[in-house]
Amino acid sequence: MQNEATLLNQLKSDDTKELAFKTLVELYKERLYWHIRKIVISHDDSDDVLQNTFIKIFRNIHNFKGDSKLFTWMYRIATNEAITFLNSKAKRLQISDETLQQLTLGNLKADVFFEGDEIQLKLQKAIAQLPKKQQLVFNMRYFDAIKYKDMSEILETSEGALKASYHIAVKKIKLYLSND
Amino acid sequence: MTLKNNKKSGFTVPKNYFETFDMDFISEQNLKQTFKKTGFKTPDTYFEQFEIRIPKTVPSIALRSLNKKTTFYISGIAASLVLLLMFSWPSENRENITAEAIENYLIYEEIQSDEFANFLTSNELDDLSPSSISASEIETYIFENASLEYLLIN
Repeated sequence: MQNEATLLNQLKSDDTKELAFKTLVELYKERLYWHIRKIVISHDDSDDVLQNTFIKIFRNIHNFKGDSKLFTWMYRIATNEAITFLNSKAKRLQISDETLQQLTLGNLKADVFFEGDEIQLKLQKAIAQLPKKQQLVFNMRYFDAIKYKDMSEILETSEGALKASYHIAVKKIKLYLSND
Repeated sequence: MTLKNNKKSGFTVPKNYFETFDMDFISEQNLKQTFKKTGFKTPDTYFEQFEIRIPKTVPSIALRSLNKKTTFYISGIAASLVLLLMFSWPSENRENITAEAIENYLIYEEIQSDEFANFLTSNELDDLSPSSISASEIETYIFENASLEYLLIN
């Protein structure tokens, strides 16, 4: 993999920007997709959000100051895009975020792009009952094993608060699964 | 009684503490073993065919950041809106205005631009004309200023 600093320089130069951007998309499309998918659930919605995320990255890469890692900066954009998307969708349908999430989960069993069994469906339901921020923390730590230090940059929250949040999320999920 | 013979500390633990602690640890491990995957999948060859379609109307050159004056006006409009709502709301209810109430008001009451205009001078309005602030500048402003916490409560 090429050095991040080299890639960044290429992304900021008009002559090399497009080619470097293709490299960036290749490197991060899967990781960002799965991060988004766990937030918005549906594949089609994830595809839209991923497109918008990369377009924003392309348009704003010159603003990236290097204060954080490139991948945490991109994850932050993806997270904001996904949450904004859900907020807009809920507004468009004139329902609350919680109702939208319940509606999405209700359709999950019939979704052709969900191959999970009852156990995985149950886990998604358990995650859905957490507050939004805890859902983000749980998904990022549990499935993607993102380090707290990186997560702290992505979610702009202290490492201590994230650890506490994850701990509480795991407890709630275990309780939900044992009661269900 | 000698020190050597007094081997107990006197501390105790709740009944079944260690058994429960152990079970707790095991069940957390079980959780990870049972739920390793999300169950989500993608269409076949989705990632192989994935490409970004950058809208052609979007210039690939660097966007200029909003200058302080423009930022001031955009922030000013937001502040004006809050003031407008604060003073148009019945006084006895002002303290109870929630973000949700303001949001619903904006959605359903169709605020007109001339209501905002009352708060600005004609020179300020000239600076706010469509030719002075592009869509990309507004997008950049939102991109740089929207925080996750803000998005999560909206």
